[in-house]
Amino acid sequence: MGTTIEVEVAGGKPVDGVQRYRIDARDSVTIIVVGDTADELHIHGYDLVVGFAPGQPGSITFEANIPGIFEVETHHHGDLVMELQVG
Amino acid sequence: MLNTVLAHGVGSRGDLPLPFYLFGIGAAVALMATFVSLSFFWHRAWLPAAATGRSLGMAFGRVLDVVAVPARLASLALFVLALASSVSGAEVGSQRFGPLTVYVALWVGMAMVAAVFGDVWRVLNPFETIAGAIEWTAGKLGLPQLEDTDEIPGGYWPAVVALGWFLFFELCYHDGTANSAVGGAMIAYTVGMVGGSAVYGRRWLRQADAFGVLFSLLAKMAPIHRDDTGAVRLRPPLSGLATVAPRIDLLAVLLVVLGGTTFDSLAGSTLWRDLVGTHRGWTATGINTLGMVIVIAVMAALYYLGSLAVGWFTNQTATVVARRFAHSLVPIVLGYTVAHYFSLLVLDGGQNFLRLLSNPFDRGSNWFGTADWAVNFFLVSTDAIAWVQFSAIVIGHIAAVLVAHDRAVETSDASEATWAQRPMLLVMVFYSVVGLWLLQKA
Repeated sequence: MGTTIEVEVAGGKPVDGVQRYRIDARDSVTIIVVGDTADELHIHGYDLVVGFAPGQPGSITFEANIPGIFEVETHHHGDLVMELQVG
Repeated sequence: MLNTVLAHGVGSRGDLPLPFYLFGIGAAVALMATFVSLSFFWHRAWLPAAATGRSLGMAFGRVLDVVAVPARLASLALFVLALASSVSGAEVGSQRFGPLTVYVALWVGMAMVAAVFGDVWRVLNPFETIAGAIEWTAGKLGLPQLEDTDEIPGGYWPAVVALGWFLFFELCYHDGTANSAVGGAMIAYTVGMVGGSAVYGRRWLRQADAFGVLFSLLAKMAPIHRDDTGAVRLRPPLSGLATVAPRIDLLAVLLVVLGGTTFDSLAGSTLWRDLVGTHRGWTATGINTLGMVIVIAVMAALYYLGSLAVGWFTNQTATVVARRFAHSLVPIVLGYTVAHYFSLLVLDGGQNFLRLLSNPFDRGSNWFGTADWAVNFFLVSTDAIAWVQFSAIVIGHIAAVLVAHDRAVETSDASEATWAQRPMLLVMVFYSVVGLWLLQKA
């Protein structure tokens, strides 16, 4: 069980463009983020933050228990990285 | 500083997409069924007569006048608090009290209050209070008093400009939810409102305050109103719309809000997100502004084409028709507001507003005991939200068709009126289907 999402960020922006990931409500989600600068990923709604740096991928696992669409952004650059659609 | 690109300026969650095909077909069928059945059983205009309503007596009005005083002061206090919080730059978590007050409590909350309880904003409007206080002080100092004129030049166009500016700020400007931006905008708006009142008298607020003009239109839907004597009267919901002045500038107010809300829906979709791509800052602001202007223009053009076609059947100019049926857009404006912002109001937006009300300066205060609230995202289910969205759009359009039919049968018989109104029905079906389609693209 559980969904793993891997995202690569360059200069605060997602390398493959902004994608929307669908997750079933109450499923377990792991987000792994690889980046070329030190930054933090902010998951709106869930208000979770995960840090990452060059050579140090960030990883966070949580239960997707809030239904809706949530934006995930880089904290310092303030760029949209992806969207989570829960439910 | 978070440079958020969220659809509604504030708020952290978006609604799930609606299953469009089912809902879209349902909406179109419901609208057409209403339209056809009206020609059979609605033969004469009765909203104008019903709009006066039944008086609840003077006593009730006097009680309201007493309650109005603390309410007015509380509203002024909230305004000052929101402004002070913005100026101080306070942020609790990633939430800011000033933007929440303006975008959630005022823009969404008051709009819904107006549609249900009437023109409450007229009492709560802090600019009325400030202007009144200045007038009173000037009187005490023996300064000459301004005579309140019936109408200032420019009609409601100042409100159209103010609305456009507000919507640009909320939906297009890339930094529109920053404390500094909202604080600055509040100060600028206050100067415009109070300064205008100093020149033109209090009448300025009736014609230039974006919120005042819009909320007074929404209040015409309310089943409760006050007459010139101050008596509180009950009337059938929607009937007050028959008393809306048939004016192009009021039509512009409604079309700008309708277009703005529709653009907000579009801006929250993956379609628009892909279009804006990686553009940020002023480039994003430019793209969004262009998008909003185009959406407003398209909504207005469709309405104009509908009017042109109806006028062709009834031997009237498009302008005359457009004015005559402008009031029928009010329920649609409310429907769209509910559809797009209901979840924001009851979930993160509204709850964060109440939470930060206790601690607007992030100094650990807990004035009303709400500071420790965590946002409860389960207050309403996503299914319930979906049904509210669908119902709001469909009921809004059905109400519009009904109100328009009532106006049409003033001058022609029911079947003739129905026949002539067909182009407008098409516009309504198009609006509602596009509205639902955008919710599906959320």
